[in-house]
Amino acid sequence: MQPRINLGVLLRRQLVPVAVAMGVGLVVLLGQFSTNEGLSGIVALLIAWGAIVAAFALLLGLANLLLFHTRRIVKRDAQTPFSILILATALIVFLLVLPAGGSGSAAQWILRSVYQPLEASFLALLVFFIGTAMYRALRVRTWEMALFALAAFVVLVGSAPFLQVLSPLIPAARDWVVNVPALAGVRGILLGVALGIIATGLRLLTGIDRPYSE
Amino acid sequence: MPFLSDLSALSGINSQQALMLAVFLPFLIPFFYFLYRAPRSRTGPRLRAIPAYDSLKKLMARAAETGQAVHVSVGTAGVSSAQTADTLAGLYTLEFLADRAANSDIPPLVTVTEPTALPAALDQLRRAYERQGYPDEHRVEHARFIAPPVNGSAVPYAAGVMDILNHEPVTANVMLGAFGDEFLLMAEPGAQRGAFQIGGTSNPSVLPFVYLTMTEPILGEEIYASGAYLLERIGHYTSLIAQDIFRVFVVVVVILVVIARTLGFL
Repeated sequence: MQPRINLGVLLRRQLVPVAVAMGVGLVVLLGQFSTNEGLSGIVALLIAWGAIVAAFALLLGLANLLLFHTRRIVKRDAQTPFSILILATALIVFLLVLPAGGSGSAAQWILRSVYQPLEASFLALLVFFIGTAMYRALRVRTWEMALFALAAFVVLVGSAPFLQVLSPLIPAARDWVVNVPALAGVRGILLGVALGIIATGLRLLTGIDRPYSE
Repeated sequence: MPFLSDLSALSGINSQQALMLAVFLPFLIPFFYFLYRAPRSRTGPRLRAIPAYDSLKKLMARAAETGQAVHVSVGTAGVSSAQTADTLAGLYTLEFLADRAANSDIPPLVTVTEPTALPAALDQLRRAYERQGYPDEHRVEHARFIAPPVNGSAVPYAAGVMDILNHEPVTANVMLGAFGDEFLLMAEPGAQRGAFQIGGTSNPSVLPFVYLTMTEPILGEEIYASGAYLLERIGHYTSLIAQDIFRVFVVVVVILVVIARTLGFL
């Protein structure tokens, strides 16, 4: 016996999402190649709708965050104090920012005096992480890692101002590494990336790929 | 280029748009040709081996053996930006892992920073559990929203992921999508401990970090092959073949233009 097809489910889960995605995608794509003012207006409207939907996603994110940490507090596991701290911080920042919004003085003060110093300190860890990663690379004795370490050494030495005065060959070697082999490699990668993005977009536009439906 | 200028003058579109069309339209030919041919072909496409995808196929068995989750990050971009293709590559990987996780007791631990990636990730998980016949096993907290990007910086997210990887029982770390310098912040602690890590991105400036920290790196455009290698769908295979053909075409054109310029013809 043939399985029965539920037309309502088919419409809701497959046909309507695919039709909307393909239609919107094609209109926005056509807008890229047209100077028609009417079409440009429709494209601008669709993009604005997209921005509104994305803003609602932030509310969903906040709900997810609250739900996860509230459940962890209820369970009383080892990370509970940190969950309390996260929820308390979120509430305090929300109450401080609420009266004047994101561009208000309270929000700007939090950004400048709390967030940015924390971010800068955290990013400073990159220096040590790059060092340990390079040390690990040097211990792996393959020719790829040898080339990798050599290129990194030439660029590092060539970028240090006090070593540049020793010989003009040092910055010249650095420039050659950056502008010839590295640039050629990057362009090759970018060519592949561009083709990959076109292929992904085409699969979505034609409805072959439907990450938003069954 | 004179040809593009002529095309622009004829159609009323500018040279940038003409260049976009010149790249986009020829790509359609191999794409649709192989899409038409694929169902009639007796032999499936043969793909070169990418060790990272082979390892991904065995990853959930590793999770089941250790009883620990696999951490999955779909990158720091969402599904409404120029880097959507990178996020989708991460979502295809998540779809593959979630399908296998739904049959075990170990759900993947998914983290996101961009709000638009959260519903996409939750939807992939929900559908995987539905497909495998366990819709009640799906939990909203399987995907965690860590923190939104602040002024385009995903450092708060990186801090949250570092904490998860350092303090929660995670058997492997999978990071596939769009990343910036924060990639190293998330990947290096795991690399120092010798954790099993698979990851990749299309951003050339981040690729050295990927190469240095990942057990199995996925470099550049290889991330867009995740659908073909893991999900094995015809549409993904055909787009991969079309990409390869078009790449050869572009390389030949580049070489011919270099020769022509060197000889003074252009």
